[in-house]
Amino acid sequence: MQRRKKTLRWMIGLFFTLLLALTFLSNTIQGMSLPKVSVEKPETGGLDLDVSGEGFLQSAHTAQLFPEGDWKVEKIHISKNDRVSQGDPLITFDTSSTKRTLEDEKTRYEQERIQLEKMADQLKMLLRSDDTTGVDNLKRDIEMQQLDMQMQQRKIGDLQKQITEGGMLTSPVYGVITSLNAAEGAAAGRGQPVIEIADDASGYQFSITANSDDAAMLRIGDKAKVHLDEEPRRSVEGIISEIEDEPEGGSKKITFDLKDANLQPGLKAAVSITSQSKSFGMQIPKSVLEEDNNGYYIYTVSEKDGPLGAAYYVSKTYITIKDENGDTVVTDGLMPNEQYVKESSEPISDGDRVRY
Amino acid sequence: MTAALRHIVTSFKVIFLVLIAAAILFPVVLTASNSFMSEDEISRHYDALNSGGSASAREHTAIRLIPESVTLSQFGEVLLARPKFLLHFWNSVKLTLPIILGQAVVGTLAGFAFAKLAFPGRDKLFFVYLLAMLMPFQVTLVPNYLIADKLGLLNSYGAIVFPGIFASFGVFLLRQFMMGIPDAYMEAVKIDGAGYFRAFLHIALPLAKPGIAALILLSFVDNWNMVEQPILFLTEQIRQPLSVYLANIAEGARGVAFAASVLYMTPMVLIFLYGEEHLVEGIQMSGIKG
Repeated sequence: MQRRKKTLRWMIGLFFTLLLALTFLSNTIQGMSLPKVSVEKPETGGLDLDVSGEGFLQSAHTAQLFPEGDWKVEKIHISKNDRVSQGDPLITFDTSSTKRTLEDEKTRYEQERIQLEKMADQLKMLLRSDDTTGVDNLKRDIEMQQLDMQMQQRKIGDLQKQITEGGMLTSPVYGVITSLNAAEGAAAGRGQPVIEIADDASGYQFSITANSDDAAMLRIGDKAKVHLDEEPRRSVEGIISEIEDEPEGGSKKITFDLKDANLQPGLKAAVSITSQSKSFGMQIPKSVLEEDNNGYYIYTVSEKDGPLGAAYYVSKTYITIKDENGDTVVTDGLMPNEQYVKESSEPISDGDRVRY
Repeated sequence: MTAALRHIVTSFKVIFLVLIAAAILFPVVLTASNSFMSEDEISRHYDALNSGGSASAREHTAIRLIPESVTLSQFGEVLLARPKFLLHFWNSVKLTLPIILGQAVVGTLAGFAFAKLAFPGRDKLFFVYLLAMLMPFQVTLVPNYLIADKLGLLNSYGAIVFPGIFASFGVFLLRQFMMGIPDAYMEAVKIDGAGYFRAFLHIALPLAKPGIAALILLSFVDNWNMVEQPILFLTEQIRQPLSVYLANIAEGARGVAFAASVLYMTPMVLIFLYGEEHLVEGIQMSGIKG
């Protein structure tokens, strides 16, 4: 009987000691099994709207140069991407065929001049006779001949001009050769441009794609600093000339105009514009936003006095979105000191106890 | 009566008692065995009973005594993952322990006075005590509540502990017990020059040990199991004792209800086994065996 009592006494002691120990350790044990969250306090202020991107310069206007005649290319003075000034020789054409035509035309003119002299002699003879009809006819013929000769003279003038001016193709503008469609020795057709020159005077432009929300504060005519990928690096001023919706939606194509000498088509240009939205509130990263039937919400952490000391719980907090950019929203419905859950080790739901 | 006949009668008695014991013990055994089932198994077997399952599903819910696989996961869940269980357990201890100790002190002193001291109106006063004891405590709940409110004890353990300490049963039990102590002892002590207090401390108290043990046991069981008073007097959920919490645990987590029940029973069973002989002895000597 005594032994049984002793055992029972031990068991009672053990039971209460065990529960006491478990109580002592309960917070620790619970803590280990709780989802761990990392929290952050929202920043107050307007939204930073950051638009940045890179693009390649293109000239706003390209001058296309055509040959004056169907000539063979004799010499090409430039190569692609060369910078040229106004009046610089670009291509020399072999104009010998046109020169031959010119000689032929000159000869024809001479022939017609001789014919005219002949007609003048005939007129002198007829005037002595009484053939008035014949005289009238001849006079008209002479007039016609004179008209033909004027035409012939103009043709010669044209050909001469063609040879002197077209024999050497020169650049009409300051700019950069963007395309060259000729080879020495090959014929160049009149119908297609042999050379295209990016015209410096027309300026250069490039486009970037930006998130619509971020670009919301940008206006046509806004100025921005554009960094050029050159050695040494430099930056020039760009002006927004166009803002268009991209077909896939959610983003916008922004075109910048640059006016500066010494720009090259194909040059890499980068731009970064930071502006602040007008809306004022708590900034919360989009990644923590969740949505249900009642709208957007985030999880906030609150401290409650639990059964065994302070404990942290998460609760759903619904927020209204006032403004947003690519990765952040501005909201109200949150206290400035409230902490929101940024990450959690396990999925959490409203009212869950967590540790952090 | 022949020996054979007596033997048969004894056998019948034994069989009869075994059957009754089995009926009484069955829920306890069921609880104990099911506490070793996994939560999953519990949910599968008993979900139909609670969660509005169809009538036929309820009919076909069989009671199971043998777990598919024995596991301590329920105990782990209750003891490790639910600090609330431990909290309510200590709440129960906090309520029960002061009541028992208080009852033992008050019961012995008052019992001694009623049994061994002659003062005017003693029996009448005792009769009032008896009346109070005979009344079901639900009847006294409302006056208790009003008094607790007047004393500003609402929503504190005092509202439960004080009425518990001065419960009339302890006084009655120990009075009956001390009536059994021969008056000759008292007179002898008096002749030797001892006062009442000495007589109480050195004669009555040691002799009343089995009675005090019986009181402690009965009072422990009574108070460990109390449900109505905490619900009425304590508004805060987290201050409720385990007995109240146990009723709620089945709603949220049926899977751990059995383990929680076993843990709830354990202190009672252990203490009962420990003081079993005193209980029998105490009740016999107080003359209230029934």
